[in-house]
Amino acid sequence: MTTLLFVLGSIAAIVSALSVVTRRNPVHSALSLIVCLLSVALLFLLLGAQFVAAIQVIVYAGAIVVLFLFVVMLLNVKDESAVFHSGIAQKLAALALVFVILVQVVLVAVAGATWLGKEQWLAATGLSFGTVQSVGRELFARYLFQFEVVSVLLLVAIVGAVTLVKKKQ
Amino acid sequence: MLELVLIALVKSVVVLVALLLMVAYLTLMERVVIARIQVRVGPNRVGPFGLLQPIADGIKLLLKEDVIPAQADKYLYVLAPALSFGAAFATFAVIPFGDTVVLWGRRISLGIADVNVGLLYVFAISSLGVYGIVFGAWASNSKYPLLGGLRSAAQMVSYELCLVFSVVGVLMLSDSTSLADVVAGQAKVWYAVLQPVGFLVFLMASFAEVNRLPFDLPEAENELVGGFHTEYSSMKFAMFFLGEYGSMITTSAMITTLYLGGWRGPFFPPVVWFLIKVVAFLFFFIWVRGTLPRFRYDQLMKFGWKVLLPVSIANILVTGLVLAWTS
Repeated sequence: MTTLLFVLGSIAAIVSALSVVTRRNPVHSALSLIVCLLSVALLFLLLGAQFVAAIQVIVYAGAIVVLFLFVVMLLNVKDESAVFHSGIAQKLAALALVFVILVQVVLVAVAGATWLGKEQWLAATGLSFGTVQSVGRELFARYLFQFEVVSVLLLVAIVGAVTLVKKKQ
Repeated sequence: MLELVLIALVKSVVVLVALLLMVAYLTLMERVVIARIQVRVGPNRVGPFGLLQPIADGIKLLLKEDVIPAQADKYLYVLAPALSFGAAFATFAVIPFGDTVVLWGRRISLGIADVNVGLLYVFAISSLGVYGIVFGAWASNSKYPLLGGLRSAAQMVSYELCLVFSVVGVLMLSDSTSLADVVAGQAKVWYAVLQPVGFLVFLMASFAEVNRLPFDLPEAENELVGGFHTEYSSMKFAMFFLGEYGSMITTSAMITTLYLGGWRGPFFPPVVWFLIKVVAFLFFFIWVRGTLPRFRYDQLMKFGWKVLLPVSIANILVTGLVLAWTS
C-alpha cells in the first residue's frame, strides 16, 4: 500500500513538475505546480511527517501559488512565449544547472547512504521527525538561534518590500 | 482492515448525504429568514410551508441548459466548480460531531477521522478552496469574473492569515492540533469564554473566508453582475453554490468545535447539541447578511491587515503571557 502510494505520488510529482515548465499558458503551469506540491505533500505524509505535509499545502500550494496566480491574472499574460525569448546561452546555462542539481541529488541519495549508513538517515531514525511536537522541539530548543536569525532575515525582506512600494513624496 | 475501511466509507457517505441535505435546506432557511427580516412572506408555494422548494430548485438547475462560453478555457472552466465543491466538503472529514457510540458491539467514534494535525488539515483544505473561484474566474475569459477572482484571491490570502493566527490561542490552551483534543479541552469552560478576542477575530475572518456579506466582494451583485460565477449556468453554477453553502456549514462547524465546546452539552445527545450550535451559527450568518451593508474593497483590506491581524497577534502574546504566569 505504502509502496504503491509512493510510486503514484512520485510519478504525479515528476509529471506535474515537467508540465509546469512545458505549458505555454502560465495559468496551466500554476495548476501543475499545485498538483506537484500536493504530490510532494503526499510523499511527506508517507514518511509520517504530517506537520511538514500540512505546512507544505498551506504555505506553498495555498498561499504562494495564489500570489503567482494573482500576478499572472493582473498582467493578463496569455502566452509567455511572447514575453520571454530564450537564447542559446540561456538554454545551455539551464541545462548546466539541471545537470549540477541532478548530480547533487544522486550524490545525496547513493553516496550518502554508503557514507552514513542507513541507520543515521533522518527518516530512518524514527517515524516522528515531522510531527508537530518534534518539529517544534527542534525549532525552539536546538535551532533557536538559527530560527531567530531567519526571522530577522524575513523582517528585513518585509521592510525592503515596504520601502520599494512606498510612493516618493 | 476491511472492516475499518467499510466503517470509514459508511461514515463518509452518511456525512456527505447529511451535508447535502443541510445545504438544500440552508438555502430555504436563508430565503425564509431574509424574507422575514425584510417583512416579506418568502417561498411558501411548493409543498407545506415551502418545504419542497429546495428540491424544485435543484430539479430546475439540473434541467437548465449548460453553457460554456466560446472563448473559455474549457478544461479549467469545468474543473473550477468541482474544486470549489470538493474543498468545501473535504473539511468535514476531521470535525468530530459526537462522542464514541457502541453499535453492534463496535466502538465507533462520531467523526470521519481523528487526525493528529486536524486543525492544520482544515486550513490546508480551506487554503485550496480559493482555487475554485480563481480558476473559474480566469477560465471564463470575461472581465467581471476576472475582477471577482482577483478580489477573492487577495481577500482570501489576507483573511486566512487572521483566521490561522486567531486559532493559535486555542492551540496554546488545548496543547494539541487534533480537533478531538480541542473538544476534550472544553469539558469545563468553552474557549469562547477563555479566548473572547480570538473568537471575535475568527468569527469576522470566517465571514470573509466564505464570501458572505459584509465581505462578499468577489460576487458583489451590483458591481460585478455575479462576480466569479457570472458565466456559469446550470449544474456548474449549482456546484459553486453547493460549495459556498457547504463551506458556510463547515465554517459554522469549525467555530462550534473550536470555541463553543463542540458536541458537548447537557440533557440532549451530543449530535443534537452539535446540530443546534451549527444551525445557530448559520442563522447568525443569514442575520448578518440581512442587516449589514457591504464593505468597500479598500476598507476590507485595511480592516484585515491593520485591525484584525494586529489584534490576533496581540491575542497570541497575551495568551502566552497568561499561560506562563499561571503555570
